[in-house]
Amino acid sequence: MSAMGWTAEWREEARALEPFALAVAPDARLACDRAAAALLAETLISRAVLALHNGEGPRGLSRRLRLLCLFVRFHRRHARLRSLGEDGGESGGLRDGSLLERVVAAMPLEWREALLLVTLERLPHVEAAAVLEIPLTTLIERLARARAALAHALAAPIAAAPPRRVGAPHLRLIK
Amino acid sequence: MTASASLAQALAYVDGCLGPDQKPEFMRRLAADPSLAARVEQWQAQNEAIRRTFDGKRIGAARGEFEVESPAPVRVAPASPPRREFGRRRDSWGEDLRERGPMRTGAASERARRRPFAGRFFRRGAAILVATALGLALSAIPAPIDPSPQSAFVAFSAYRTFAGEPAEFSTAEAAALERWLRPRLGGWVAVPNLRGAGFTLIGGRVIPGAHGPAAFVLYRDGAGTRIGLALESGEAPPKTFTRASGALLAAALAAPSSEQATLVAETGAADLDRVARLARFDPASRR
Repeated sequence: MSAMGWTAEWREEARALEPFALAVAPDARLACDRAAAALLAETLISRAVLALHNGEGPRGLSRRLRLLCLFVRFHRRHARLRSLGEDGGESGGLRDGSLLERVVAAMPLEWREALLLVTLERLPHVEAAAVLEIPLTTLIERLARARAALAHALAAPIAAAPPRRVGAPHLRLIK
Repeated sequence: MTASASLAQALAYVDGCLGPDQKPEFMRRLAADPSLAARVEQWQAQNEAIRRTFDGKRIGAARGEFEVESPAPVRVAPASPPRREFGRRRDSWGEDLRERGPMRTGAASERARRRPFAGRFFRRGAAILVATALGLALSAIPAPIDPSPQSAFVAFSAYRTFAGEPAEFSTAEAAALERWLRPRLGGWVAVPNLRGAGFTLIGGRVIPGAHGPAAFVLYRDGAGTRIGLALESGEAPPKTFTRASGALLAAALAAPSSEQATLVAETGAADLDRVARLARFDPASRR
């Protein structure tokens, strides 16, 4: 394959990842607005594509799943580093976006990843578990919690903003 | 069936990954259990809402943070006539007509009084049409493309991503790095020697450039200051520029042939102008 075609393939892969990255990147706890989330998503996507090209990522998965897995890894690492540097400061929450966007941004990262991989990326549960590098039972548990939280938040009055979180007790580095 | 197995089955049904052998049994349960049916319906609505909200979203061009000192393409906007000018002309036209007023009487005089307004309307409309046509014609002329901002953006992105981490191919030998990079970049590459400026090579990595695969090379001096260099094949070497953007500084390096080379460092960490002046490309490393 020519060098230019190779790069076009990279770009196509990066483009396919954009909706998921834009959905998962905003984080109410990190006071992330839409522009900051877009910048973060763009950086992490390019990083994941480069890592994929350099042979990183779990073996035995398709190219698309490996790319998703690398993105999730880099995003978790970013979230962990940010939470270490936050010093438990007051979060402003996600300032813009619809109610659904704000509710999703306020979810714990693990729930958000699981929910968006299954709904937005339309991954079967087995593949979503492989991308997140967790057992299938853990994925089911996270999905159930995420859906319950979503239902609860969307049933609440519109004015009720997602709860502000201080610190990140729910954020763990899986790998 | 246990509660967790039931939950897993319901979630699998909603997410479209329930096996065909399990589907008939689940459909029977769904018909028999209204609370399960309500929950499934709610989850399906959630899926729809999430897809409606997030699907198809694009990052777009959030890349306007960097500017170079190269001249921007000249675009001529259609100029609207100054209001005072227009008013003065209208007044003078009105006076003109008033001078001719005594020649008309009755309805003719009334029409004559109204004509300046109609004329003004048509003249203004004609001016807007001409200006719009002129603007469209000028905007259709292709502006000269300056590759410098693009190469600087590539360098900035690469520096942000890799400067804090080990390089993918770690070596202090430029020739070894070139041998590693060449097949990955389609043949071209020349890693400059920055020893004259006190910087030694650490290693390099392949990055996506503006026009194809590019190389990102890292150097370090005795004090531990890191600078990066993005190398990309291009039609013409970049124009000389040095510009700070946020915490980073970029400078174009005068590459001897068709490579675009952009040096990047943290602002204040290195004198990039000096480094760019002292950079040497080894003639033996040419392709």
